[in-house]
Amino acid sequence: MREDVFIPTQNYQKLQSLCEDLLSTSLGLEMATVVGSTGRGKTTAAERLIVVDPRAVLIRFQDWMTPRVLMREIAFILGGTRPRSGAGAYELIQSEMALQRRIIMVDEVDRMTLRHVNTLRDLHDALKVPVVMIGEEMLSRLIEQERRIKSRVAHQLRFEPLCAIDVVVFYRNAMGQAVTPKQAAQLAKHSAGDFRIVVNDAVQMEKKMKASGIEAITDELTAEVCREDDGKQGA
Amino acid sequence: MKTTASRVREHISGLLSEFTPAEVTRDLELPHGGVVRDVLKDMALRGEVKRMESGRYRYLGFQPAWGARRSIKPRMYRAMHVKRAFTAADIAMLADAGMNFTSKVIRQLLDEDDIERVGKKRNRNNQPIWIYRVRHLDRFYQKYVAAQRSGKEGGS
Repeated sequence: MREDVFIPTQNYQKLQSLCEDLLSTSLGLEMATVVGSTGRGKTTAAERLIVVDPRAVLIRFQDWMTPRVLMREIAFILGGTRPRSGAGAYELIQSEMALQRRIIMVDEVDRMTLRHVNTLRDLHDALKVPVVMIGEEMLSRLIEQERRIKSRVAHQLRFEPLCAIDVVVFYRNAMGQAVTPKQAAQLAKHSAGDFRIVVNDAVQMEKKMKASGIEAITDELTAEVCREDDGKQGA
Repeated sequence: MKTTASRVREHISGLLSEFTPAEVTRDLELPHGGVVRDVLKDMALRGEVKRMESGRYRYLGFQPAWGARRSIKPRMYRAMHVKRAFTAADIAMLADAGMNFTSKVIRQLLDEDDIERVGKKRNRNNQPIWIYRVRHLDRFYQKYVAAQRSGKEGGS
């Protein structure tokens, strides 16, 4: 199985078009949230996006970061230096944004406090910076705590569970195998939308195919992989 | 000095009919046909030539945008910076790069002491692979990511 292929899932494509929208418009409401459970590929999609598009930057929030440290990190990722003061960081962000409009994506926002989110809101308001906040379900609740934040979030993207089409693309690109719509639906259902489970199932599938000398995925094999894993989870 | 690929391109762009790798090898007086076959395979992937059912190739034309390899290295640097600890496959996946080219860039960065090996793990095919780490994130960012953004060539 190939590990070096990126699967452009439907969620990734939605995130890509969201970023294009944010960069192409300047209506003063450019805050967005990307919400989804673990394993839906939020972080990988964001990483991929900033790698292919230099107009986007990504900051991964960590628990030790204060709002000032968050500002300094944003300043560093945009300008390459970390000014000591918050005001210095703000100035640097401002001058960098004047050179080129970019999207600031912040991951793990669900772990932030309202003070951090308000720091992002200030950046958005003062500099008209598009801000994309990424996190798990808790993020929605965090945003709803303050009306002034909630009203600024113009775009809400939900990372849906992986669908059968994503499974078909994954098996084709990573394994070079074709799966029927029925098999894809079964595998998607078994994964409960978690990409990691899809990958684990594919690894199991490949092992079984090698062991038994089968060259194509069959309905029986698909059922066996899904059943076996259920047994493990139940134990 | 011209590369084999550019010699092949120059030759086949002047051909009026379809051609085989063996014919091109003979015309260019290359020692064996493997090189031409590899070049044509790459060109077919880019859409520069088309392989016909007969096994012969047809030249379709070259677009300068295909030489986008220059944009791959900055992507790889950005991927390394964002991942911090990574395997070659992680970088190839995020940057849309080939594994061979990724390994080559990683070797260069190891020689420059900008990244280091931190351990080994087994991949999904149960083969041992190295895990790398950016040695100094800020310095790496300044040297490669920021330098590329401002239009300078990072590293040596």
